Amino acid sequence: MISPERLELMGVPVVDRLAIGRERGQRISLAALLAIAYLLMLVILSVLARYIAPHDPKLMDLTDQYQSPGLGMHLLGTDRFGHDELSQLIFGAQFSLLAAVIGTGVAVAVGAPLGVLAGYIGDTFENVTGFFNDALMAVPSLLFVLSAIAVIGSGLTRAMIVVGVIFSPPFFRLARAAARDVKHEMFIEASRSIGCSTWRTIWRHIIPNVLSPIVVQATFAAGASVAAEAGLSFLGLGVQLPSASWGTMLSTAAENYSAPFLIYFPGIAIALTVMSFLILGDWLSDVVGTQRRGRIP
Amino acid sequence: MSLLEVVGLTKSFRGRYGPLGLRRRAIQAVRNVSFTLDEGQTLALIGESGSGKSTTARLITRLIEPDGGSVNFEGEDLLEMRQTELRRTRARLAMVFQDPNGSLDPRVTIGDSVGEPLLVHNGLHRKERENRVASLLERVGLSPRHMSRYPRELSGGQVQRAAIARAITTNPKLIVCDEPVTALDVIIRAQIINLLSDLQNEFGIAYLFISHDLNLVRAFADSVLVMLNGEIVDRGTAQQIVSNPGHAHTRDLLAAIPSLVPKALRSGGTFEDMPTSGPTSIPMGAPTGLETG
Amino acid sequence: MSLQANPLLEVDGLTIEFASERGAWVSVVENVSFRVGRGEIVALVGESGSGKTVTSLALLGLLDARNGRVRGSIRFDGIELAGLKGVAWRQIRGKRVGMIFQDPIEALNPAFTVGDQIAETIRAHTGVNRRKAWTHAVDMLRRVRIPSPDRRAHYYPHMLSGGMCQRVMIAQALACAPDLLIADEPTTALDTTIQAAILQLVREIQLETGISVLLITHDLGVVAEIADRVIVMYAGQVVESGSSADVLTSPVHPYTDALLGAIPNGSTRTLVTVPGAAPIPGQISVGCRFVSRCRHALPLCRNRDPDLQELDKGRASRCLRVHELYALEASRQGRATM
Repeated sequence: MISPERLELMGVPVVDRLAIGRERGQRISLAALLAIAYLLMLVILSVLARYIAPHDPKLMDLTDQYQSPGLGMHLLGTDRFGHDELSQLIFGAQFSLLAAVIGTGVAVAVGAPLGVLAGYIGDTFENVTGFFNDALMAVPSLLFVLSAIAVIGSGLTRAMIVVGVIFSPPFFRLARAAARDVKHEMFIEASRSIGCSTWRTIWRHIIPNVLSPIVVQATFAAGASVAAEAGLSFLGLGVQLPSASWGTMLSTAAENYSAPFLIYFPGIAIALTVMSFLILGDWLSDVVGTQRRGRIP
Repeated sequence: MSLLEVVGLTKSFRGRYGPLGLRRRAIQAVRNVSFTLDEGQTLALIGESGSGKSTTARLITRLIEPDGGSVNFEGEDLLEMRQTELRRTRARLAMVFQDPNGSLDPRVTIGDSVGEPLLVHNGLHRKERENRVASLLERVGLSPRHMSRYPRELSGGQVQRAAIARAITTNPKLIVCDEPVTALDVIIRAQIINLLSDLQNEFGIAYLFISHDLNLVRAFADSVLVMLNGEIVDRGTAQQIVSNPGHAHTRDLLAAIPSLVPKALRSGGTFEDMPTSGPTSIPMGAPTGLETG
Repeated sequence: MSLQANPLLEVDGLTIEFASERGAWVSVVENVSFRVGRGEIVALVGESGSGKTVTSLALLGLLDARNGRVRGSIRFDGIELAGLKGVAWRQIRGKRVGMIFQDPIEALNPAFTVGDQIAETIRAHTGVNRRKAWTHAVDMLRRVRIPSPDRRAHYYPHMLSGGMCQRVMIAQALACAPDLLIADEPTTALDTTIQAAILQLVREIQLETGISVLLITHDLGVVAEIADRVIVMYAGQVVESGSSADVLTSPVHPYTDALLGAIPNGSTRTLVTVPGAAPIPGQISVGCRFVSRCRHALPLCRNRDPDLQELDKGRASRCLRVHELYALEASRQGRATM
């Protein structure tokens, strides 16, 4: 079979008939729509948590421990301290999203610009930065994170910065590989031939062409950040009590297995959120992949 | 004083590893290339793949740094210039590339691509740039409405026209054309060649025209250089090269020009002009450097 | 049309459509008919967008059914190829019809030696053992005039030049002695001196084996070298056909005229050319498709879809004014260039 890419290069207009949706055959899948809807909902919950949550999540009512979920004051029940599960869940979304933002933001900021420069400039610069990048990848991440937090202290922001650093090597590699590829394109030569400075060439021509894989990877990193935050908070290294993130909710719930519902809700929330990011990333990488350089004959 | 004077241009690349691993051979891509080009003239650089012609073009514009030699453009040696001055000189020394698919940034509109030299060199405002770009596009046979299009929406011929428009934006004295029509269809090819001729007549632009097609250039080039294995093996006016080739390779290239006389109507009807240079009488192509016999 | 009574390949009313972005079907090849006789070399000529490559792909069922729709009849030695299903194709492809593509280095598998690749084709179709297949492969390399074939058979594609790779492709395509060779722009990616050699090879093989060749090209020089007959395509239709001697010296369609005129002949600085470009599939209106570029265009050319008219001597033209213009051409000396 002749691949669609090859046909397009031959000048044959090729569009996948099974793709519905807007221009250029971008496929809108049901899963991606659901994922986007879910994440949007999380954003709204986070922003409007104060108005949506039925109770103050930190409010303790020791007379009301381990209430089962049901109709009444506490829709999803209460935990060991009498905190309302639902309110904690809603406020917990804030931490998860914040974790995603910090973790991804740091990872991209540390990895991508260096990667682009390494790919474009090459030579010694690439060798040196590449070496450090490889070293960072070689370090066992869990140990690194624990040690780093031991040094700089715990708390969501600090923990997620460390996580972000750990997540940066794939961005470095992606950016470097993409910049290396684009560097050899004819239009980069052309930009130099009209007198573009190195800076302008990178900013105007290299970076827009390497954004796509970075964005896809960032979506995956966001999902991973949420999972990382949950894990660290569970261990007591991320969000600190009495603030409640989904991770700390799990930690509180783990102390008494007779109330399994306390584990289900945050657990499902974490799983759904991570999965949504992954689905979104998958869909984005499909969309990005369909942007071939096709040509009308 | 000539517009462009190239003396002793040389470039070697580190070779590939041999099949057994560590053997590295330096490949001399360009060896001691020298020539001159006067204002308003067209000099064609002819060669097959691997002859060094494209590398020479890039050495002259300093997209690749030469190992040795000098490139005097308007009296100044490009190889001695610092980066800032070199960039400014690029306003007068433009380049048009081969592949319409790749020579314009696919994420930039035609208008922005064509107007970029104006931004880099002249610092014109957006409105002034747009006006100038619109008139440039019309000059090369496109329309101002192409300004908002992307390269993928245009045909190969149209993209090359846009690339030519970009090249003439800053009124260059010399345009280096690296196989600008090779990837185009026959009729479009003729249109583009005619466009280049027109522009030369109107603006007095000199062309350094790189091609593998001797037939294409012999009508509109003033002088021709033939390259083989990085060296210039033959030179002269187009007329001289064709009627009195000075090197076996030139004869090979001339012989390989396809005749449009159908085989049925030829006397003898076989390849009586088969190239005879080289170790065998059947050309096997340039050695890749990895064959040992 | 070929004058043979029992042609090897008969294409009738071939129409190929692709799904456009808006969901409508866009025809890229429309109602194309031609024949390839036994032992003939037929050239399918056109620029990019003419539909010639898509036609060749359709002949071997290489178009993806999800995107393309093929209608019409393709009869190969009496067998109807249109609508053939997967397993049946294996009897045809490689065995009775061989195909070579434009960029030989790309088309060969870089992970296997060239000898292995040819031998694999042989074994896939004939089931002989490895040793025999290898010997046959080396023999094929010899027949395509590769020097020291027993040694070169152990080479990987990247160790060979473009010209040699194309010879390997030809060897692979001919390994099972097919009746028809389809060559899609076989020389376009090669240097000019190598082009001549490859074309000579194809001619010699044709004389030795009597194989038929369908050559797809945009280069009229290639056509002049080896083709017996020519079919000129424009915007998805056949616009002219006839013997290569006739078509190249006295064309009967303005497009062929334009193609010949655009070829540099060394005498004039300005090349004769027509303005504009070929219409894009999906944006084709009623009337002759060449009308916007034709200097002989009349209002009637815009209003009527011209049919392919069969003229005498196996020639055909889709020009509505062919008889006026044809009479003009007959009175001229013809168009022998160089």
